[in-house]
This record gives sequence, structure tokens and C-alpha cells, in this order.
Amino acid sequence: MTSRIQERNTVSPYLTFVIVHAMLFGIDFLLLTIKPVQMAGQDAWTAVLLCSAGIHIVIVMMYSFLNRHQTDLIHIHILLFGKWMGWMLNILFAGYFLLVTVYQLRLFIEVIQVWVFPEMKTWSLALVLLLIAFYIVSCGFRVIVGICMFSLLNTILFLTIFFMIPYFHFNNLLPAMSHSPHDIFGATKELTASYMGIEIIPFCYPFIKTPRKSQKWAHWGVLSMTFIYVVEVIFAVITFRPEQLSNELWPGLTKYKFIQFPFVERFEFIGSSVTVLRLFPIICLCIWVASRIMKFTFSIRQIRVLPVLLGVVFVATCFIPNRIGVDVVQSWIKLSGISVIFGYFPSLFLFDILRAKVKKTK
Amino acid sequence: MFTIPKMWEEFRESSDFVYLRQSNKNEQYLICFLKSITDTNTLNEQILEFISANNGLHFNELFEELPIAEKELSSDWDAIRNKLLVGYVAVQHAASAQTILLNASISKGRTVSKPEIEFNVEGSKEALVESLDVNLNLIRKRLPVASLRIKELQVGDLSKSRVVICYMEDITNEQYVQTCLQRIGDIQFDTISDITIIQQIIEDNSNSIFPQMLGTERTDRIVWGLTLGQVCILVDGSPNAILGPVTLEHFFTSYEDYFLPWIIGSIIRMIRITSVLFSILASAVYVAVLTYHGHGISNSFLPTIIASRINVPFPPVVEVLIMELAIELLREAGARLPSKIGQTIGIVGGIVLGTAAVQAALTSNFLLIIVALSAMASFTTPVFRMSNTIRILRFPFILFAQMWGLLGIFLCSVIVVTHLLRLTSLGMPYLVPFYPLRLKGLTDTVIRPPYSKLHHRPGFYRTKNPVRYDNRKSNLKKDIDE
Amino acid sequence: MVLMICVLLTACVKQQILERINLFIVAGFDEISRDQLEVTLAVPQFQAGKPETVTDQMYSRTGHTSTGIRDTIATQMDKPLQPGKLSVVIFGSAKAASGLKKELDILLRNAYFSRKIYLAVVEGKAKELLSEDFSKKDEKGMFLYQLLDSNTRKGALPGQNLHEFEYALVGKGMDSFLPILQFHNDRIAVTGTALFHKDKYVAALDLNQSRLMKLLLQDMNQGFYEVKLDNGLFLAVENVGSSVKYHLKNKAITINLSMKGKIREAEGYPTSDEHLRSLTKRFKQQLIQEETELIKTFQKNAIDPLGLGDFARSRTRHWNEEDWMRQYPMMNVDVDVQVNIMESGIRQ
Repeated sequence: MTSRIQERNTVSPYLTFVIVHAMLFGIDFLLLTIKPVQMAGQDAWTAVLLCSAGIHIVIVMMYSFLNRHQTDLIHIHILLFGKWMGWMLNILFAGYFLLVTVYQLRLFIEVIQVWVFPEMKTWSLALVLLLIAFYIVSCGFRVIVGICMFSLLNTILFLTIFFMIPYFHFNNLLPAMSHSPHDIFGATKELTASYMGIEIIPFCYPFIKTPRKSQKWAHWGVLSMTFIYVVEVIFAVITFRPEQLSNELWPGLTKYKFIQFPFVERFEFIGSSVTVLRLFPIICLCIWVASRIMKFTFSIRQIRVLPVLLGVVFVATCFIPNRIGVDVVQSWIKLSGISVIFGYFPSLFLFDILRAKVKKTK
Repeated sequence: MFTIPKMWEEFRESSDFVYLRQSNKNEQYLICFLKSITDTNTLNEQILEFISANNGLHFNELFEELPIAEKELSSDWDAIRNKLLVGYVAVQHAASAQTILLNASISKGRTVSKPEIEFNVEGSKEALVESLDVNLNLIRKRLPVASLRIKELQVGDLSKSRVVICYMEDITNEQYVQTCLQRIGDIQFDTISDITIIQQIIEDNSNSIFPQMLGTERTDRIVWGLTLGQVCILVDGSPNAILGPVTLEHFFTSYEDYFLPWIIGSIIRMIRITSVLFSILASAVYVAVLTYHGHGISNSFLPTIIASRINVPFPPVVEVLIMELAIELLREAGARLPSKIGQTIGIVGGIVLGTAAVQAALTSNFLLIIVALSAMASFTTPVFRMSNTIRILRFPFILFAQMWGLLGIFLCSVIVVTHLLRLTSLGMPYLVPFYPLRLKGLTDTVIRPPYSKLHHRPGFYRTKNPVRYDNRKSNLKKDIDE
Repeated sequence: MVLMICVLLTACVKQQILERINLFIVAGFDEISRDQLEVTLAVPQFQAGKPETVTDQMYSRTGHTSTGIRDTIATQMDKPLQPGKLSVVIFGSAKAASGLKKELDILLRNAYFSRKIYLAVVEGKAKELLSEDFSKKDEKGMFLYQLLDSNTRKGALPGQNLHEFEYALVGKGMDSFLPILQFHNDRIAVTGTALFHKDKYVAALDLNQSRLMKLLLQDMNQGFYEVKLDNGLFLAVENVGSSVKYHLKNKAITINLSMKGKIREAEGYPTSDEHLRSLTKRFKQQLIQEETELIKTFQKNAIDPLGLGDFARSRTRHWNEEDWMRQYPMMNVDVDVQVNIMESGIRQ
């Protein structure tokens, strides 16, 4: 049942770090800070830490059942739930990843439409982005991870917050811990959406050379992103008033409005164009997983199913007309992401343990 | 059965085929050779004289006593013909079925000279020449070890080129050698006149504009590559060799970096990499900014740009394309002409045309600076084939910049990076050691480390023997005043 | 194939070739009547080959919304108008007094505008100021930008850019302020500070008060201060490093200002030890007196440009803006000044 992946298609374990990092550093990073800061104000950073702790636990659970079965989630589903049930779950996951793709793609196009080219047509940019995505995905997993690595260059832009030092008001962090646990938990829930992306790990698992060793790197990936999130949240708190922040749509891009170089006076069009580097790893990995699921479910070649999936994504993207549409999809994604990460994986973990126990007693 | 008269029939059309009959008393010898590739001195002074001086010798005794090192007896038609074609002299006795083949070949070629393309200020001034044997001699002289293996193949139905694969038996990974041998063996093309043809045929992806083998004419660079675990391929008739497997980063390192103190060498290397990026992106960024993101230019800079462009009738992209094409034109014209005229053309074209174009408001002087700088920056690439690639690579970036401004530039770079990611060189990833990341392999990339740090060969070559020297012996830690 | 399709899509994005659009660096807003405002733009005109000579063309129109006005202005132009380079916005004093909320919204909403745009209030009408020929060689917008930059951000006068203005406007427990520009004798000058309550201009400070205000706003290392001695003599002290700290104790705020000074002008005044000590004492008293007066002015107008309320918020749990504003005008704000004269130049 388990399929062996040829060694030349696998990647080193440390690249799990890169995958996790790239998946978490998505387009919605740009609007990460609004809701948590609205809810928990200056204490939002504690929410980030809380959320990160939860994610670490989920990763431990995930690796527990992955290590036991030594294969990816597609096969585990069929192994645990039988053919039909597993089939259903796999299709659900494929749908979920396609939805994530659509969301990220549309969000990026919106960034471009708002910040760079207001008259850009949704379909034209979507078409070009998906064609490039097709090129990347058709080169295989190694190349996709390479693109993830390339996108890490984006992290350099994170340093631009040092341009903002003159506008920092450290007083804003005080008084610390003045929000109720209820507020902080609310902010934590909002932040879960930013940690979405780790659900890709169970599908990449067999493509990692020594998969057991990759768990450490997955944790490191989440840790480094936690650090970035915390800095970003603290930055937002000390630069903006919460009232100001609630008027913003893209605080991650607004911060580029403060940067000036001798030659370049506006940085936001650079900053918003660069986000394309964040987009590609996510959509490529998601489409790759979705097409892989299709490959095993319908036993067709991945390269055949790829254009079909891209077509579906293209049509779905074009049907989201505006800001409101994006918001609706965003709420779906949030709901499904939270239920997958904090609902489905832990219950799968428990089910797996129970099943192993029952087998042992038998 | 081979007889010389028969041979005469076949070669009759070739004027350089000589067929003579030498009779020594009662012994009749038929001698033939191709005079264009035969050394007449050897022929006259050693072969003919020996035959006439030693008349009466039996045919077999004659063969044994002839004072020529490379000689053989043969009666095989095809073998004899092939030997004749490379400069052997065939001597036949009328009474014998056998033919003596004596090597009297002469190779006329230029002597070893200075490198023309990969010119260095420091270091040796020795470059490969067209003769394979001379080239092998140059390499052997620099690597007098038994483990240097030289494998010869013959390729090309018409050119019958001798192709040689050199590698170090105890260092180079066997897999690369096998790949090379197999790919060269599979070559079907009829005339292999230059190594570049082999390179294009055996490359992993021949549809790529990026060279996946490193062409060089410097013997010291070849030797450096061999000792690192690379395979070197030479072909008779080409003053260049190719080294493989290579990574992208190799194309931006000049061998001269190794002759300079490591800090200076590293800085020069970084400047080179920056200038390559500048060369690819500068004119594309110009198009993007002037077409879409004009408000991004700082206030103090704005008047300069606008004032220089205000009378230019073209949109930035047309302006840039015209200028880029003009530079390419100058370059091509300069390259095809003898070097002295080439220089003049460069000066006339560069200064006169440039000034006139600005005065006629066909281009802005700001763009002129950018284009000239990026052209100059593209020449800093030490490998000629890569600088060609960079020249060409600019154009897709300019087109994408025209379409979507800066976003287009990023999209194009994603495409280029994807392409680079999927490229391999003899099976080795092209972007190693950056992807897959090999931290130890990173030592000799952007920075040229001091020799005390070069104690291991880069791991990504998967060499049989990764140790260059034992660094434990040299790393004695000293205290102050000890 | 990808390239082919891309070429087909070229037409989808609007090009804005730099020299084929009209940019403006400065814009002025004036109030005509309650719902009518006048927008003035200074559009630079560039000359081929002469980047150093830039002239300005003034465009001015009245209307209800500034975007609408921009549209009517565009009808007079040969090139499309691109607002992206806007760097300075000036408001006529009448406009500032009746509120800037609407204009702020325009500036904050448009993705093209930087958050570092300088704002300023003009004594009189912005249109009149812009139509004066105050910058002999430079473009007007660039001149104003440099003027504000060197005097407020890099200089000794208080000023706020768009971000800071909004920050203080929407922030609880703080009020915003802007520099005042005035055209006088052929020159433009920063003549003081306009204090805002919410988004309305309510009070003005003169140049000296503005300088003193900046001392309380942030740590400084520049600025000259005159000291009046008892014998009527004036001395000048340069600030080479001052730091300001707020303390909150029992609902009273203490402001600690410590300044290191350097004597710049002391003709007729010996700089011996005891003289210096008395000078220090005099200067200290003068500063305390002036700063206290300044704060009294703030309290009288119920405005808080120093952000004392915000400071109190950060030191109190469950801080309430209304409670604070109720007690603010009567609040006891102490100013404690430490002056240390370090050097007296290269003369005794």
C-alpha cells in the first residue's frame, strides 16, 4: 500500500523548516495584526505565544501518527477508515487545499489591485500566476521546495521595520496584561488562521529523506515564525494606535509607507510586488498536494490532473468579485483551518492511539 | 585484399594522395601516403632512406628494423585506410599480403599562446591550443600523478574527432565519468569541430540558455577543476575544454580570485555578483519605474530624470530596447573586427553615437548611463558563455517590466529561478550549494576563503576522497609571544 | 506560450509614463464656505536638459469634494494628473479651524500617498501663500518640504507628519499640533505651532513657545535658548543634549527635563564658576516658569499635545479618557528642570 518515493525526488529534513516557514509566511501575514490587536490590545503578543504552543502540540501529534505508519495522510486515511471513508476524506482535503489556493491567489490579486494597479483585471493576473504555478508544480516537489527557499528572501523585507524606529511608542505596551483571558483567547483564535499551513506536513512526509528527523525542523519553523509574528504584533502595537489599526486594511503594507531611500521615496509598490514571492510557495504546495490526492484517488497521472485543478482554481478565483467576497472566503478558510488543525488532527491522533491499543489487546 | 593501386582508385580525386614505387634492385615497394598530413622529413630521411639502404632485407625484417616508434603490420583494408587518413605511410611489398604502416604524421598548429578570452593579470599566461596532444601535454605537466586518467573516444562519422575525458581516478565520482562516457558515446552528429558542439549535445537540458558545463581555455583552471573532482572533456581541434559538473556560482568566479589575497578576492567576487544582478535588472527596473511607478522616485531625483526624458518621443520600453540593441550592435561589430579597428568602433559608437543620441533627444542621458553601465557589468562575468546568457536574459525582464512593472520583474525572476532549480549539470543540481543548501559547500562561493579553510573538497561533488589536506596538522593554535 | 499570453494581456494595465503625467508635490486646502472648499495645486513644469530650473504652474478650483475638484483641475491640463508624489499639504487657517477630518481621510485612504507627508497650517489662505514667489529657484513643493523637514523633523520646532497627526488625533489622551507657515517679506517662515483639539485648530503658539514645547516632547540635541539676566543682559545657550521624562504619582504629573548646555553668546558676562552657577540657576528658573506657563496654556484650552493623558493611560490600569479630561485642566503638572552648562566655547 505504501508507495516508496524515489530518493532523487526527496528532500533533506531541514527543508521542512523551509516548507513550514514559507507556508506560514503567507499573504495574510499582511493583515495578521488587525484582529488580535483589536481584541487583546497591547497583550496580543501573549496570544501569539499561546497559539504557537498549541501548534507545537498539534505537530507532536501529527508526527506521532505519521511516524507510526511511515507514509502520508492519503494512505493513512485509507488504512484507518477503509476505502470509501478514506476516499471521502482525501477528496475533502483536496477541496480544502484548493480553497486555500483560491483564497491566497485572490488575496494577492487584491493586494495588487489596491496597491499597485487599480485597473488590473482579476482574470488576467490569475491566469499568468497559475501558468507560472503550473510550470513550477510540473517540475516536481524538489523545485517547489526550492521556490519555498527562494521565498525566504522575503524575510529580509521584515527588517524594514527598523525604518520605523522613530515612530515607536513603547508606552503603548503598557499597562501589560490588562486584558481578560477571554479577550486573549479570542485573539488566539483569530491568530490560528495565521498558523494555517502546517497541515501540509502530513502530505509531504514521505518526500523527506529521513522523515523522523524532520520533526525537529518543523518545530523550528514554527518557532521562527512565532518570533516573526510576535515582533510584528509588538511592532503594530507600538507604531499604531489600536483605533488607527482598525481603520487599516493592510497594516503589513502600510509600514512600507514610512520607508524612504535616497533614490526611492515610496516603498509600498516594491513591498506589495514582492509579496508574489510569498504567494508561489503556498499555491504551488497546495496545488501539488491536491493533484497528488487526485492521482491516488482516481489513479491518473498527476500531470494530467494538474491543468484541470488549475482551471478550477482559475474559475473560482474569477468568481470572487471584491473585498466582501474575499472576506467571505476568508471566514470559510478560518473555520475550516481551525477545525482541521485543532479538531481533525488531534482526533485522528486519538483514534490512531485507540486503534493501536485495541489491536495490541487483541 | 589491400593493394595500393586499388587505394589509388579510391583517393584519385584527392590531389594530396601520393603514390610512389620504389625499387631496390629486384625488390619492389609500393609506398603511399597523404602528403598534406605527412611529415616529409620523416619520410625522406628515415623511411625512404632506410628502405634504400637496406635492400635485400626480408619484408618482415624490414618491418622490425625500421626506426619508427609507431608502426604496425596490417592487412585489413579499413584499418589501413583509417591510418592513412591520420598521417601514416603505407609501405607494401609486391610479394607480401601485409602492409607496413608507419606513423609519419605531422600536426601543424599554432604554438601555446596567451589566453585571449579568460585573460588574467596574474597567473599563468598559458592557454589551450587546437592540438589535443599539446593540450594533454599541458595538463599532464601540471598534474604529474598516475591517478590522472585520460580516456579517449572517437566521435563523429565524418570528422572522426578524438575526444578525451580527463579525471582523477582517486577523486572524481565514478558516476560523472560514466555519464560523460555514455553521453559522448551516444553522440550521433557527424562533424564535431569544436568542444561547444559536444557541450550542447551532452548537456542535461539543451533547451536552456544557461551553460551547464564550464568552458575554459586556461590550463590552471582545468587542473583546479580536476583536483576538485570535476571531469574535463577536450576535443582535438578545439582550444577550449569543458568542465563538469558545475554550479551556477562557478560561472561568476574567475580563477584569478585564487591568486589574490582572500579578502580582496572575496570583495571582487561580490562586486562581480552584484554587477551581474545589476546588469540583468537595471534596464528592466528603469522601464518599470518610468512606466508605472514614477511616483516612487524621490523628490530630489525627479527633475533630473524628467528633464532628461521630456523630449524623448518613445515610451521607456522602446527607448530601452533601442539602446540595448545599439549596445549589442556595437558589441557584435567590435567582436567581428580585428582588435584595433574594434576599439575604434567602440569609441566611435560609444561616445559619438551616445552623445548624438542624447542631443537628438532620442534617448535620455540617464538611460545611456544605465545601459552603458549594465553592458559593462555584463562583461565582468569571467566566463564568456555566461555573459552571453546574461545579455539575452535582460530582454525577458524588460518585456515583463513593460507589462506589469515591478510585479512583472518579480514574476520573471520566479520563472528564471524555477528554471535554474530544475537544471542539473551531469545530474548534479545546478544551484547547489544554495539549493539544496550545503553549508560546508558554501565556503567557496560568494567568499573566496583563505587556503587554510580550503582543506576539504566541496561535498556536493560527492568525491571519493573529500580531504584535500589534513588541516589538523596546520592548525596549531599559538598564544601571544610563543 | 506563457510569453504569448502575457503579450496579449498587456493592455490590461494603465501605463503612467513619468514625463507624460502631471505630478504635484504640494497641495493647499482652503475653506470657501461651510461645504465648499478650494484646492490649490502647484504643478511643476520641467524643462528639457535643465533639471535645475523648475517652474510651477498653479491650478486652483473650488468644489465640494477634493476628488471632484481634482477632476475639474484635470480638465485644464494637457497630461493626466497623478497624485502619487504629494509630499506637503498645507491648510488655510480657516480650513484648519473648521476641521481636517475629511482631508485626512483622503490622504489616508489612497494607496499612493506616503505616511510621511508633511502637514502645515498657513496663516491666512493656502492659495495665497502658494501663489507667492517664495522659492526663487526650487520647485515650490520641494522647497516647502525641505523647509518643514529642516525646521521641524530635524530642527528645534515641533511638527507632525501625516502618520503622527493621525496617531495623535485618534489616540486617546493626546492631541495633535502642526507648524504654522507665514509669508512675510518675500520669504516663507515657520512662525509657530497650531494646536488642535480633535481635528480643529484652536490655539497657536509663537516661535519661542514652540521651541519650549519641543523640549517637552522628545529628547533633543539642538536649539538655542535666550536667557535674560537680572541686569537686562541676554545670553544665548545652546542645547547639546536634553532629555525629558514624565512621572505619574498620585494623579499628578511631574515632568523631568534635564539639559546640557553650551554658552554661545556671553558678551560682557564672565564665565567663572560662580557666575556659571548663577547663570544656570537663572536659566533653570526661566525654563521652569516658561514651561509651566506653556502647560497652563494647554490646560486652559483643554488640549494635550504632550500626550500626558496617553502617558497616564500606560501607567494606570483601566484608564478612562472622560475622567481624565475632566480633571486635566485643573491638574497639577510640575516641571522640574536640571541644567548643566558644559562648555563656554573656546573663550573664557
